[in-house]
Amino acid sequence: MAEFFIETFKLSERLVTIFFDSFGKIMIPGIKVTIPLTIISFSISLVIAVATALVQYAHVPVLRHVARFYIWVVRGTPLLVQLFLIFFGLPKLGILLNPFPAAIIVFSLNTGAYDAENIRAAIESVPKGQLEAGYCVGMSYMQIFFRIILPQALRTAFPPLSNSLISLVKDTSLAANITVVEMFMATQRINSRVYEPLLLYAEVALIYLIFCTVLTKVQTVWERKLRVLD
Amino acid sequence: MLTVKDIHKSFGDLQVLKGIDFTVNKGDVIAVLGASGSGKTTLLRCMNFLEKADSGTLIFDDEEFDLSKMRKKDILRLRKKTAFVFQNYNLFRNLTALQNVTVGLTVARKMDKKTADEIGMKMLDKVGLLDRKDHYPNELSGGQQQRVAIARALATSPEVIFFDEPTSALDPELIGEVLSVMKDLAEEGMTMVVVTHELNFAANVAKKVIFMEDGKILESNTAEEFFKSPKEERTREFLKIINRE
Repeated sequence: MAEFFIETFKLSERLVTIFFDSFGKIMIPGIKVTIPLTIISFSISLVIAVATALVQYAHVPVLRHVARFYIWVVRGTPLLVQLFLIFFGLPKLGILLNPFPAAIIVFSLNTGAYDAENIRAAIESVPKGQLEAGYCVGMSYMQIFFRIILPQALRTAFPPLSNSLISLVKDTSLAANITVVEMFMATQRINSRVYEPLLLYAEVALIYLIFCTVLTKVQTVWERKLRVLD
Repeated sequence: MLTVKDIHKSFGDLQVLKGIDFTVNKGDVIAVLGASGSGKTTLLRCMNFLEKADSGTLIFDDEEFDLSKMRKKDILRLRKKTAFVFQNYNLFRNLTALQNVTVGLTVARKMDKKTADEIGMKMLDKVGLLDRKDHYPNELSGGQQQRVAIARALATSPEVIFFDEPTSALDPELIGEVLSVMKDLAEEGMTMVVVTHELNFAANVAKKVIFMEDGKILESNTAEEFFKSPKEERTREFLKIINRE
C-alpha cells in the first residue's frame, strides 16, 4: 500500500517537473513565432480587407470581380490545404518559400478574405448621407472614404475583427504542418522526447487560452471606449 | 450668379422635374414651397449634383454646363462654391462639432489646421455653439446638430447655401433656434435657396418665393406679392391648407 503512494508521488513529481520545464520551452516559440506570425498576418490582412472592400463599395470595374473571386476561393477552401498548396505546391513552379513567409502569406490572404466581408458589411451600414455631406463640403470620393466612412465602418466592424484576430491566434497552430516551429510544433517535439501527450497538449492549450483571454480583455476595454462615440 | 434652365429628371417612369428654369442672384433668399412630391428636394439635389439631371443647363458665374454631362472635375470645383444643409443634418458622426466644421477646409481645401480652427470656432460662435465644439454629433440635440451643419456650410464661404427642409426633422421647440440662425444669415446678405414648409420663414425672411407643383414651377414672385396676392388658384389653395394646419 505504502509502495503505491510512493510510486504515485514519484509519478506526479515527474509530471510537475515536465510541466514547468516545458512551460518556458513552449512559451518562447509562442512569443517569438506565434505572436509575430499573428500580428504580421493580421496587419496585412486588414490592408487586404480594406482594399478588397473598397473596390467593391466603389464599384471599381474588373477589380471588384477580382475581389469577389478572391473571397470566393479563399473562403471555400480549407486553411490547411491553402498552407500545403503554397508551401509544398509552389516549389513545383519554382517558387520556393521559407516556412515563416509562406505562413504569413497564407494567413494574411485567408484572414483578409473574411475581414473583407466584415468591413464591406460595416461600410454598407454607414448611412449614405455621410457620403453626400462629404461631397457637399467639397471632398473627393477617396477623401470621404478614408476620413469619414472607413473610420465609422471600422468601429462597427470592431467586434467581428476581434473575433477573426482571436481565431487567427489559434489557427497559427496549423503552421506546424509546414514546419514552422511555433508553439504547437514545439510542444510536439517535447512530447516525442518525454511522451506525456495528455499533460503537454493540455499545457499548450492552456497557453493558447491565456493568449486569447488577454485579447478578449483588450477587446472589451476598447469596445467600451468606442461605444462612447456612438 | 446661378441660373438653371429646363431641368428634367425622372426616377424610372416617374417624371419628377418637368422643365424647371430659375435664377439665383447674389444676396437672394429664395424659399421653394410646394406639396410633398412636387420635386422641390430633387431640384435642389440636381443643382448640387447629388442627383444627376437627365437634361438641363446650369450657368454658374458665367460658366455654362450641360447637367446631363457633368465632368467629375467640374462637379468637384462647383461644389466648392456651394454648401448644402440637409434635412437630417448628416453631420460626420466620427468627428467633433469643430472637426465637422473644419474638415471641408483642412481636407478638401488643404488649409492649415490653425487657420481652419480659427474659422471653425468663429462659425460655431456664430451659431451659438462654441461651448459644444468638442462634442460629437450624438451628444447634441437635433437643433444643435442642425446649427453645427449650418456652421459647416458657412465655413467654406460658399457663394450660395442650399437648405433642404432644414427644420422638418426637428421637434417643434427646436425649430426656432435654427430659423433664427438662418434669419441672421439672410440679414447679413448670404445667398440662400431654402426648400421649406415654414411659411413664416418664407413670408418674413425670404425675398422671393417659388411655388412648385407636379415637377414644374407654378408661381414665382417676391415673397410679399406671393403671400398678399397669389396669382394661381392652386397656390391659394395650398396657402389655405397650410395656414389651417
